[in-house]
Amino acid sequence: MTRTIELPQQSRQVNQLRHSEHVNTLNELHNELHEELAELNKHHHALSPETEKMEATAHAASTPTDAQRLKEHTVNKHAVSQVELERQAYRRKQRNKSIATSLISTVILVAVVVVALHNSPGWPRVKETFFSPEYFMKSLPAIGQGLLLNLRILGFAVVGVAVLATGLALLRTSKSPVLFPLRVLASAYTTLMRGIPMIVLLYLIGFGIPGLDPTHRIDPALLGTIAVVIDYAAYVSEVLRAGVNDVHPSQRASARSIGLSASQTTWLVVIPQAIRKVTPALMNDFISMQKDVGLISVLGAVDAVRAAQISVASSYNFTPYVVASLMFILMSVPFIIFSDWYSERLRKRELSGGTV
Amino acid sequence: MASALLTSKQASVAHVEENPTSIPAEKNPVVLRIDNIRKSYGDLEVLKGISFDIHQHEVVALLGPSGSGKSTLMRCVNLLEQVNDGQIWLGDTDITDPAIKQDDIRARIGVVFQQFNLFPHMNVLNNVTLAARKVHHWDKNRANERAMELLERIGMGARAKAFPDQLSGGQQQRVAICRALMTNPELLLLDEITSALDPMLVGEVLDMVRELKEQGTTILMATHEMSFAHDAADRVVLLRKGVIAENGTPEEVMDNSQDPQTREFFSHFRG
Repeated sequence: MTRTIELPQQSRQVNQLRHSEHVNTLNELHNELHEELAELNKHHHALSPETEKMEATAHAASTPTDAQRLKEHTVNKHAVSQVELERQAYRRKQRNKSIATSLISTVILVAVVVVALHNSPGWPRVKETFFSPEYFMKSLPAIGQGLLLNLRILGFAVVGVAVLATGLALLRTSKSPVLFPLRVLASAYTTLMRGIPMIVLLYLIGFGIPGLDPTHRIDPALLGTIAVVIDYAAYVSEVLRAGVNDVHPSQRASARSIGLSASQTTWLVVIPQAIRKVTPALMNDFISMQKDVGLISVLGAVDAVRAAQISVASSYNFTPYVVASLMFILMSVPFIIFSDWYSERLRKRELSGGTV
Repeated sequence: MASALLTSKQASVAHVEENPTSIPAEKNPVVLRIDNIRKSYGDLEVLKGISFDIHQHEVVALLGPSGSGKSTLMRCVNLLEQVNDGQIWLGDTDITDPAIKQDDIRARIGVVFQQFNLFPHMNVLNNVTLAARKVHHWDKNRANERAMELLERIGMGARAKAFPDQLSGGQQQRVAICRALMTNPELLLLDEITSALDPMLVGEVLDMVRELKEQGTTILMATHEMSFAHDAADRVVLLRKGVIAENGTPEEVMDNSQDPQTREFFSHFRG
């Protein structure tokens, strides 16, 4: 009984699939025929009746009867069916096609850029000024030394940002009436600091604070670190706040119901989940911070950028800037790759859905 | 002083090995006394003077249509809501007294929610042992031992290192029950614990509740599983529009009630 209902359905499906296959096969035949047509036209032959005939033959040859189809389908129940094999072949062909296309377009683009650069009148000068191997090697040690300072600042800044941003996020998500004034301050802080250009903040802190007591010298690297922390804490605290708000209230309820105190609930249940929820955004802020520590050079701390500047000033060759850029890129690439991988994994995990 | 009292009381209450069902529940001490409580949200009065007792080893099913106040009552007992009038006593403690330490009270009551609410960033073992380690300050070995004992009993010992999203809904809910039982609570609250489950998985969770009943756990459960309430509960409390409509044995309330509205309510599940 069920069998007789199933069979016509299956054959209809098979027919639909067949149909799309046919369209493809026919399109290809068509293209081939058109090429032939063009060639033959050169020889002044009228070919349209012949084309029609060829098309008709092709159609007949590639159309098996429905009865054949049905038989194949029921007999080869466990082996991979003919339909699937043809679909696979088609997909393989499409894949190869797209690989070839992307390869060709890449080669063309590179060729265009190379040719354009080489043919521009100033290229030899630019090449000498920005990509000189001699100045590259000469400036390398000093800039490398400077990069170590950037790395140290980055290390301290990450810790500072983590502490300050967590505090700010907790303040802004708290509901305790005692904390009201602090909550207002935190809100004003994040609003102001996200609005102020970082370079202005660097000047304010880097030159303003030492100005309060000119008899003492404060290390510009320290002032720069403070500025970076103050600026980034505002962004990161907002990301964390979004994460905290994203943790479902039932998690808090269930933590309280087993007897955890309010602060235990925050630190053991809410914060760990909040951080997991916003990890991709946090990693993005970290990547952005990695290069922004280079801005502290405006305060005179001899970091990689400042070292490059010094080198440029003595030679009027800009290659050291390229060296510094390369170093910053090399510093961030591993983490960028890791962050992309992690975000993708997280996305896939979420797509795989719940288990209820 | 207070904590010493708590420990001795815990030891004597939840998992007594003597046969608890042989003595009539009414002779046991009262674990939870709900005394004329009222609760409103704005102008809407959800609970209009509810009173009943739960004795040790008793399983009480809280039934009623949606909006009758079941969940609100559960939330009041668990201190997630403040009552507007009346008192709730857990043993000798008035838990509606604003001066008491609420965390201590919550630690004495185990709660299982409709949506499991396991902590997704912790594995099964850490979920179960968290309260014991952080609130009751057990050392890690003791907590793990007790947790594994509970998990083995429900056949989840092998999944102790799994994370909640790797478990089925039924498994998650059974782990959530273990978490609630971990520190021997005086009372176990089950708030519609099978409502979010696939029908195929309801059975395994209800079997676990039956087992708890046999071990003498004192349970207050809000549920829509009528036949389960009929089989497993010692007493059924039927709420209707914020008041208690019926309070008696399952046979009295569900089979032989003279009240036409009650008969109407239960006719759906009998049919």
